[in-house]
Amino acid sequence: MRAFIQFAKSSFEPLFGIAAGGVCLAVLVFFFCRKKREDLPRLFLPLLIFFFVSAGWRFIFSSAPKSARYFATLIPWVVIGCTLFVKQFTDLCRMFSVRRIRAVFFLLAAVITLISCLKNFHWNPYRDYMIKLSRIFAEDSAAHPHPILLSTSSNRIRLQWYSGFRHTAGAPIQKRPTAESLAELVRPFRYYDGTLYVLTDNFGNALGPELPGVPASCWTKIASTWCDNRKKRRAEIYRMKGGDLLKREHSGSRRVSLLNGSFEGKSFSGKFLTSSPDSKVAAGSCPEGWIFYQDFSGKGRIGLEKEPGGNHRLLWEGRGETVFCSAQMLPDEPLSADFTASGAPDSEFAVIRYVFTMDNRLVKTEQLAYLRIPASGSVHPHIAIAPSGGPADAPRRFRLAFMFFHGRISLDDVGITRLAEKEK
Amino acid sequence: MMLFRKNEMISPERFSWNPVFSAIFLTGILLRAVALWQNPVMSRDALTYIRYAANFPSAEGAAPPFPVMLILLLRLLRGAGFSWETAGWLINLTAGALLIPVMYGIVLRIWNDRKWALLAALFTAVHPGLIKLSIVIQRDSPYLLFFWGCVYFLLCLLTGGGWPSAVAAGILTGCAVMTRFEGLELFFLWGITAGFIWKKYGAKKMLFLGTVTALPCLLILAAGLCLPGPWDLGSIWARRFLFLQKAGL
Repeated sequence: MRAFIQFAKSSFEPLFGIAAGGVCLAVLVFFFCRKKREDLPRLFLPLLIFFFVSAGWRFIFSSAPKSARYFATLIPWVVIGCTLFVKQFTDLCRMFSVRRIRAVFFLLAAVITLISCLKNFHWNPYRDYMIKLSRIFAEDSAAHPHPILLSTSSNRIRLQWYSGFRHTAGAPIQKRPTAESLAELVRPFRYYDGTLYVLTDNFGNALGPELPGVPASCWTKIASTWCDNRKKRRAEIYRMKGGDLLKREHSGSRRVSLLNGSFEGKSFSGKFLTSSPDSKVAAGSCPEGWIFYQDFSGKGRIGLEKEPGGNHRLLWEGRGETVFCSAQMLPDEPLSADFTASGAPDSEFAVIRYVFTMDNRLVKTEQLAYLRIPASGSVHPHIAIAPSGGPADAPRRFRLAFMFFHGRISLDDVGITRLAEKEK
Repeated sequence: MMLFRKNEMISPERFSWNPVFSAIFLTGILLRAVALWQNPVMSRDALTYIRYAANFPSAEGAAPPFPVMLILLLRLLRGAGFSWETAGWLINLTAGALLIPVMYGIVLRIWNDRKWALLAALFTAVHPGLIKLSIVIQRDSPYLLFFWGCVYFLLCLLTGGGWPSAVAAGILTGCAVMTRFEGLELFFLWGITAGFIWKKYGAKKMLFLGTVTALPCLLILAAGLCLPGPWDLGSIWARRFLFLQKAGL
């Protein structure tokens, strides 16, 4: 039934009805008017068989497609059906000796054309809302340092296109974002030392005037517009400075960092900001904002270890390749990574990064350092991370990851900072 | 009702431009242009296609998870100096407008009467669904053109068309499959057509026309399969796995 509705919808309901009427008339003529039967075109039989196959499998497998466009291939059948209706109707008029057959023909053609044209023309004053919104966003983001766009809106990709803005953090598209989902989207960026922009869809009933989950004073609404004539949905853009939220959370102990690697978050949320590079995500105790996975040969155990002082650190032990990867995407620019690794001497691991395009396609995996725990039991490397060298018009971003090979390794205080900030 | 009597020849009206049809065709183009002016913002899917086209064929990136005909057309027009946006709209508007003569031809073949063909052309020109498809950068509009173009040439074969119709049907089938996998259903129509041609003209002609139809189609499909596409997904996952392996070198 749903498929039938989709078919009617894609082919415009009134015309669908007229076409169905045409087919019904043809069937009636075929069965009840023996004289007229021979007038039916002979090519109709192969076309009819084909139509039933073509439409049939779409109806049978219609649980998958949600879009009416899936049935767009069948629209020309409706055109043929409408023509058939006019033909059969004028034939019937002729059978019943109705005068002015020509007038009937033109009247029917004019009515169908008029119905179609009325559907085509409607004035939408918000037709270019996305272009206007993008212009405002482009101007504002150019005036603020290190902007990043966060959004679960389906408009995100269009805003990017029309504003020329590339640095975004995507999340699965939500038709009706809730307060919780927006707060969840923003939370991982509280350590981001730049300007956050959130593009969201406001349906009036789901969101208040300010972004929930975040103190209202942190946000500035920079643009807001209706999306169409129905005025049910508003596209809105908010701006916030990343550090502002952190200041409030830590009441003055602001840490300028792009990545939280202190592992004090005890819970593993299981929800990631963007798609993970591998679907094999281990459940269990994994610090918030990090992903853990291993290949088929991996026999590793990972978890949080509590130090005598009360702090937490990551502990891994085992054999085989195990990857511990940041869920957060980092900007592809000169950075440095610092961390403390300790454990059993001769344990080996690597620091790698997964480089992605802005639309989350994995471009390459790059090894940044290969390390071994020395006899002293700990290392404190400072690793400079250069840009991945992609084309200037296709910016990239990356995830930092640790690949453990064998032994017993504890990891703590992982930090990523901008080189420029270190030099200051 | 016998569909065809053996060796019976049907002499359909030939496709030709006339003032009324020209007016309908121009109306169709005008309506599409107005609709485009009313909706100038590209859809999310359109931008996805453009991004795939911009990176195609990429040695590093993922292959598009759909057949690549639209991507190739976009790149072709981009190479000719059009912007991505203009290229996309040109492809879809052209395909949408060309569907008008195709439907005209199909109905002309079915009823062998210019009056009904003109009516079908008019309905195609003003149909809101078809106009909407013509102004969004999607695969639907080119697919409809290839699909129904193929239907037209197969009808030509049924009504006495020769090898040029068979070649055209083959090319359009190949293009339709390379635009959307649903185009594979045209092979079913090939089967029906082959059956009727066999009954009408005999096995020899059916085999000849079948070969002439299949050759260009297979050539297009073979060329398409050499390019990255959804058929490449297996190797993408393999590559990902290898990256993971190599990372520990």
